[in-house]
Amino acid sequence: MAAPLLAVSGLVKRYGGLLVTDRVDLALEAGEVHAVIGPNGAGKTTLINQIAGEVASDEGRVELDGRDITAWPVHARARAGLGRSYQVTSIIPEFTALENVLLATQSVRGHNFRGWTPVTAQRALVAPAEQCLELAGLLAHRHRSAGLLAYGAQRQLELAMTLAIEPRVLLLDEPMAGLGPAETRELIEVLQRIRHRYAILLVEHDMHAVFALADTCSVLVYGKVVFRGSPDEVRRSSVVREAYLGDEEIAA
Amino acid sequence: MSGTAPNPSAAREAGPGASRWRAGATAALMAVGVAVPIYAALTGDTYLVALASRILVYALAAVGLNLALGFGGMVSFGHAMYLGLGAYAVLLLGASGVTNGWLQLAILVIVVGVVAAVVGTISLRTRGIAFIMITLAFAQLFYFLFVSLKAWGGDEGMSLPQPSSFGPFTGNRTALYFALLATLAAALAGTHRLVGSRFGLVLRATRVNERRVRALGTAPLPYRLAAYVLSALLCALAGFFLANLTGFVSPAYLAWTVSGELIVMVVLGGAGTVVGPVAGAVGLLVLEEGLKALTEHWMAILGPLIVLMVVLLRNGLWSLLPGGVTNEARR
Repeated sequence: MAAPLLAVSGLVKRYGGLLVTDRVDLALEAGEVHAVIGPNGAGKTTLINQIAGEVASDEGRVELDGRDITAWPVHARARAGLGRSYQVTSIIPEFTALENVLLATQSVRGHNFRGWTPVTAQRALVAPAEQCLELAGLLAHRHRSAGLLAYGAQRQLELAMTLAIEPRVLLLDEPMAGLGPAETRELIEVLQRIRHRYAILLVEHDMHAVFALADTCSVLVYGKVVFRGSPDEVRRSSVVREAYLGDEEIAA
Repeated sequence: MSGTAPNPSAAREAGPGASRWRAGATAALMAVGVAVPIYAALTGDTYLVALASRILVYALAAVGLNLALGFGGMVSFGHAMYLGLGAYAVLLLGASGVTNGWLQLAILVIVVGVVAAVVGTISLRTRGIAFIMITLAFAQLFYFLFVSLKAWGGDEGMSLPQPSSFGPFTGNRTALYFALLATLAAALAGTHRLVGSRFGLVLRATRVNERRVRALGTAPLPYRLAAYVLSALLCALAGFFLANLTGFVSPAYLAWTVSGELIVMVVLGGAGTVVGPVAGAVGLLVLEEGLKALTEHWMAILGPLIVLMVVLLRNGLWSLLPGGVTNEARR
């Protein structure tokens, strides 16, 4: 059997005596959406940070397309095909929407030690950037300052930037965070349209989104995967219900 | 400097034609720069040329510092050190027989480039207050080094044995003035191109959110270091002109107060705008001269006045002109 696109095995993170990630295994194929759900403080963001390389793991391996990238720095992982989005919108507010995406587009096209030609005048960079903006439904706003976009548009921009580095694996950290119902529906549609191109690890609290998108769900509690199955199985599982009890309810 | 706090000035959108105001103001500044020596030649007023030269030197240094501070978010409190190195290069090279100005400049670029690369590599491992302190420490190190060089005037400094030689233009003050003005114009044009380029995009993004830049596949350090070195070289170039203009070099050029004044010029004029530092240099030095003429206690007035201006003009003098930092309005 060929190695999965993203393989995480035995991943551990400790903060002092606190076990934040407890021997987590994950395998993702292209075209697959794997949702990680769990109560607040379960270690979902830490898990994404470990895979993306922002947090060093104490034990375990991360493999991308059969290559061991456990010790790689963040930027090398990104260039190798790991694209992540942030729970807290991480755009450059003073840039236009287009410039934000260009920052990502140019990142994977050689070095950036070019100091004379305006980026916005380079078709080879602008064209793919505009494609990403269109995909995220932002093309009309491309010349507006990112800091002045509505919150929902900023979340879309966050996704567009992540797509613009042409990743093969998407690590999405609560892409729906703070969105209204209509905006959430829109974003689900966008993800449905592009899901076949990527292996997607989706951390999300919005259960509508999870059930609409996920092929597999892992339930993370205190850093440990306590249940793994299809969305339907998760919905029926008593373990999951127990883990969420008093935290938030699963809307069926 | 991470986090995503929006810069209020930057988030303002540039309306159509807004950049014309800034382009016009830039042209006006340059026109005044050209007019000063002509006016002086007609009236015999040498004081005005001396003042304008001094302003141009500090404007060039401030434009250099702005590259690190304004666009890169690297708050260096030691850039006077590069100004001083540029000035001492003229003295030390001239005294050891290297009088050719072009050769002096070439050596200056190499030496300051290496020093800035080393200092930058060490300093850029730190952030925030630590970066401010470590750049100050390096500057003080060089300050005391030159104070200790008794053969070169020690803390009193020394007159140049001869100015840098540029063939028939050697020692010609008017030629020197226009060369300085042209250098400043070139530095502004270069900065304008740089900040909109691939390099500029990375540099400006690292000021706001280094973490995001990494996650997008770019390691920030090489770009930050390159910007730091470039900014040091512009300051050294200003020092080269300063030594030739005054015919004198002293450790006072490297004093920490000079580093502070450069920061004030950048912030007063508008950090992260291309021409803002020039406005800051003009504003600060003209104000200083004016107050000096009024009273010997000018510092007591200048200090609070600067505080007031920085507080009232959050984003600097240049931001009084319409046009944000975004889009094509980065002039």
